[in-house]
Amino acid sequence: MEIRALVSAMWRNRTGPILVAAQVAITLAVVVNMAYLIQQRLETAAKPTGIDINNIFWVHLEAIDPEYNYEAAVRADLDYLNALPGVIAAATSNGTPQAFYALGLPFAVSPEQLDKEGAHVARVFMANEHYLDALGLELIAGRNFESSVVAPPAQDVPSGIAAWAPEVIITKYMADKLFPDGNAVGKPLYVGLVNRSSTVVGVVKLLQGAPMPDEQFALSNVLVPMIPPGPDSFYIVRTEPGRRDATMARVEKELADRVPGRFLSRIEALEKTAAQARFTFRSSAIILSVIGVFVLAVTLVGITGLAAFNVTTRTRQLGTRRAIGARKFHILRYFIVENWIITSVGALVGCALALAAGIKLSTTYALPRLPLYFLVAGVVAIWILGLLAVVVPARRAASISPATATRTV
Amino acid sequence: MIEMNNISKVFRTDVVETHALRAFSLRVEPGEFVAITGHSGSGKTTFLNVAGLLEEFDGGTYHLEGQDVSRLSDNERSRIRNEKIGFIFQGFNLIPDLNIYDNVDAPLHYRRMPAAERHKRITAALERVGLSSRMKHLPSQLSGGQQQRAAIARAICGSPRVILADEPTGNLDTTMSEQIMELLQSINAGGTTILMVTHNPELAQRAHRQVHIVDGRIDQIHHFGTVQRASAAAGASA
Repeated sequence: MEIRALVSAMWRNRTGPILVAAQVAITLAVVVNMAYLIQQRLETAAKPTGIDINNIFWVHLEAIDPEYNYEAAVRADLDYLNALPGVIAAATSNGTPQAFYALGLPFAVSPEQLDKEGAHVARVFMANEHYLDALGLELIAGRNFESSVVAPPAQDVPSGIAAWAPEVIITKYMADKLFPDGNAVGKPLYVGLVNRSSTVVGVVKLLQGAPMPDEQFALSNVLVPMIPPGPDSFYIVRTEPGRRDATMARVEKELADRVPGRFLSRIEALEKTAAQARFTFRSSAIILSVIGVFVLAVTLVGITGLAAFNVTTRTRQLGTRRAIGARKFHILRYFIVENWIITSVGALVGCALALAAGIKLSTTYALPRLPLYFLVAGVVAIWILGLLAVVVPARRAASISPATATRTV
Repeated sequence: MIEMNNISKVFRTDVVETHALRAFSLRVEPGEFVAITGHSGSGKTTFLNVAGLLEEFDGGTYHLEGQDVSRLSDNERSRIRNEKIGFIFQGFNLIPDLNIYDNVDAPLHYRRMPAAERHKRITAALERVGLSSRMKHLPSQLSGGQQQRAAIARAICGSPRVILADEPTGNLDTTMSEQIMELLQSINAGGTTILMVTHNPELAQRAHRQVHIVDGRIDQIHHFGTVQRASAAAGASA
């Protein structure tokens, strides 16, 4: 087949091919980035958390009595919860991991670094000596908090933060980032806003604060030994496997009434909290998939439409080609190659668009760069799509009788 | 060259059967120039389509150069059309998006002829029809007569044994028609068999033989001349 003649003929009627190539280019750019976003979301939803999610529940109590003694109630509640049969550990905190709301602060290894943009932003979880066990976190270096170091509840969150704490536990991810020499324990960690420092006393292997695509936001977490400010109480309870629901039911029934002047506002399995946090990713992945399929379908229709239009307008020409010796195979090949050239030009432009869009997305939303194998897969997919789109019109073209050459005068 | 015996061709729709050819028998000798005449709907074009393997027929036998072509596969029919038959159409049927060179090149491409050989044949064919200087032109940039000459170049570049011309001057004025007829006669003088469908009795009389078709049957045959042997013709033209 003479590619030069084919390209030259296409160029003389370039409007249709250019439009379809543009459609292919936009489709490739959109679908490739969409596929990557979908993969990111599904990967994020499936990432390990470091938390024993299936055996944990949390409970929130709201105080309604002005005379309510929050600190005493917390100590009594923790004694009660930790004594329940089947409970491994119960801790108080300012919130649950696996949710998107959080207290975030900038951290650095020196005060100078805090002034720079390089300060490492991390979530802050107020914790007591039972916190690691209550979440099932694995301590891989240093030690846990001792009960004596856990600060009593402050008046409010700002004053609690302002007072800060003499020691903290951080995640391995954060330790690797801030202390690349591998030895974080015993080192000072400076916290921004309040300009205080603490000693890192422990490192946990993994604590996913929330299922987020950006690892820094998800895995940078700091545990501070302090009872969160009241008057509302928040507890995390971890049970032995298979005893969560029964324990939850018992806590729901008994806990609030143990201290007057409050009520239990919410109790929930962490499994449900985590699933809800992932729902956004899963649902957006589904929506993106549907949009991607729709875009591909529109492109399929576009390619088929152009090919079908070409068959209709070239009926006599095709009959003539058949009359002068073209086999059905030649006609099929003509349309397939013509379509391949159009989709390839579109794919080439689409690759550039996809890369540009990928760079823009990665810088705007702090996502990793689009991997090149996504582009390769996208081009192959577009080629297959183009081939499928042109099969029916090409077969119709090949079936045109050579006698058409003499009939349509 | 061409030997048809009792060829029949019926076009069927849900409500009507049209017998385009009935017991059609014709023998055409190598190097002969035969004009096929008849009124519209008489079966001229159907005969040409059957002769050119553009259309299958329902009954009878057809031998082309001694080969029975009645039951050939589509690919085999394509190959014979490509190698043994040249077509000239009333509407020229040049591919509008290709220049004249590429139009003439098309049948040679389907034959998978080497590029150098193709180039040699194309330039020779275009020179013969007087279009050497127009080979990069598109069909739309040429006059009707030039387009038909380009179509003739396409028909002869593959050195076919027979040329089938369907009203080759039907869309041309008298002067252009005369040029085309002279060209066809010169090609025939070189030994190529020509079957030409025409409405024009004057043009028909320039053939060796006129076959008049009525209702799908041969009605009359008129002889106007004898076939010049290729070798003799070649000698004369030299």
